[in-house]
Amino acid sequence: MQQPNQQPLYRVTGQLPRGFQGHIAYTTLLPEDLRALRIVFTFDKREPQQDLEALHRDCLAAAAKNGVPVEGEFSGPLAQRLCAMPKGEINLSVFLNGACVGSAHRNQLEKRVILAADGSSEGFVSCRPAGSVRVVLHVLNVLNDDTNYSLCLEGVYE
Amino acid sequence: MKFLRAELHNHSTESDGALTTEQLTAYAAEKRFGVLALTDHNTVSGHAKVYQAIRRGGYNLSLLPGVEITTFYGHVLALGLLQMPDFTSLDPRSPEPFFAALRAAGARAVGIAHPFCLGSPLYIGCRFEMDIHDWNAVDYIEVVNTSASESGLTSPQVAEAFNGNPKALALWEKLVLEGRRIAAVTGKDLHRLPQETPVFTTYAMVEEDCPLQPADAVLGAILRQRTLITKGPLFSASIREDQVAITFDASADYLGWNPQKAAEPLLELRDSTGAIRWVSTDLQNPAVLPLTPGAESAVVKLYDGRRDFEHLLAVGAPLYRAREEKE
Repeated sequence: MQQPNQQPLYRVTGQLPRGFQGHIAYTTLLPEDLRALRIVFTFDKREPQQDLEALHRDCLAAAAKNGVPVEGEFSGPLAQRLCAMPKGEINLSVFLNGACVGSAHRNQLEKRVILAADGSSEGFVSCRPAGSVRVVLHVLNVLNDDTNYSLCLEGVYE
Repeated sequence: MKFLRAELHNHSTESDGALTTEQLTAYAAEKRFGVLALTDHNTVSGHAKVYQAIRRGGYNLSLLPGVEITTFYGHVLALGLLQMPDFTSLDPRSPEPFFAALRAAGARAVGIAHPFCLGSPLYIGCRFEMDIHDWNAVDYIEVVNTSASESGLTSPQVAEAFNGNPKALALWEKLVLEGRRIAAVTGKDLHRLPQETPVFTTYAMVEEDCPLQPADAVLGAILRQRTLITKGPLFSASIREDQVAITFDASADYLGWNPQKAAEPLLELRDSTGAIRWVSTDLQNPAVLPLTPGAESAVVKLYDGRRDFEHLLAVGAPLYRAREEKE
């Protein structure tokens, strides 16, 4: 539930096609007198759902290229482990006035970040959220069409 | 001369590691890392926390702050980096400006992590896919990444294939024998508590009376290509006219090393003319191998029995005739 001293700044959503890889940046000017900035980023469809047979073939081929002995196509514990490796991955970094204040780089569908002078989330330095904020989504791996994401920024006042 | 151990690739919960900075620091101290490089993905947020943890714990440990710049085209380790730069305009077809930007941002040594690890679609962005045109832009290569070996999930041979270590070592050796000044190091790529497995580590070779803090001394060693990777034995080598003299260091104690642990140790010398020579050794007395006249650089490796990656025990610091003669 939103507290009286919290104010949504903006929420953006997007949809990504399978195979997309790139950086998506959202830049805005923060209100003055923020005590903290809360960022919530989510995306879906982390597990591969499309063309699984082709994906598995590519996994085994990539492993074989490195000399990993694969027991047999789509069989064997090692082959199964390899085929289970691909995952959708989107991480994010935050820049304040052009300086990177940290990154949320972890294997999670939801990333919650707090930036504040008296302590920020892991991955981020303590800082007063003021001035221009740029949130960069590092879209590393999209395994499925229509992969949805949302990014919410919320200001917390004294 | 003395040997300083350094673990140069480690992660915490500041990025995707499972250990907090406090836990990682305590572990590193317990396991006598000597120098701990904190290289979380794209963030410097853990540096101050590790410094505090070392102070609070009174640990005999030196922090080397760094970052693993995690791009779509490979991972670059920037040691000494204190402020994360913007890497979104990196052109993998011409990455040298990116490396220069890392140095401008404070990186003192720039290295390539796990260049030949499994690629897409297994690991996305981990295998090094940038086109290096000027190898002077790179200070070191992580020739052995021990993460798969220490995961306990695969056999040693499969683990090496996961990380592409033999290929990484071969690339480094090729570059050295072409005369390029580039160091070889290892990395645990530590994300969770490793299994107790005999894996390679890195030692920096520094002067006995070196006044620098260990982390700075290790940085200096990397920049001067004075690093050795080993599963225990320590040695130094030098060029004397047309010979390479190898001297073993009795202070080696990594993994409880003693010379009796190797059944059939032998030293191999490869030089830039293409010559390969080897000799058996007792790992205690100095050894000498002939160097081809005109050879400008060379690599010394120590094996136990067969001369293949599986039987590799140590890789010495690269030898450059021009530098050796000057010194």
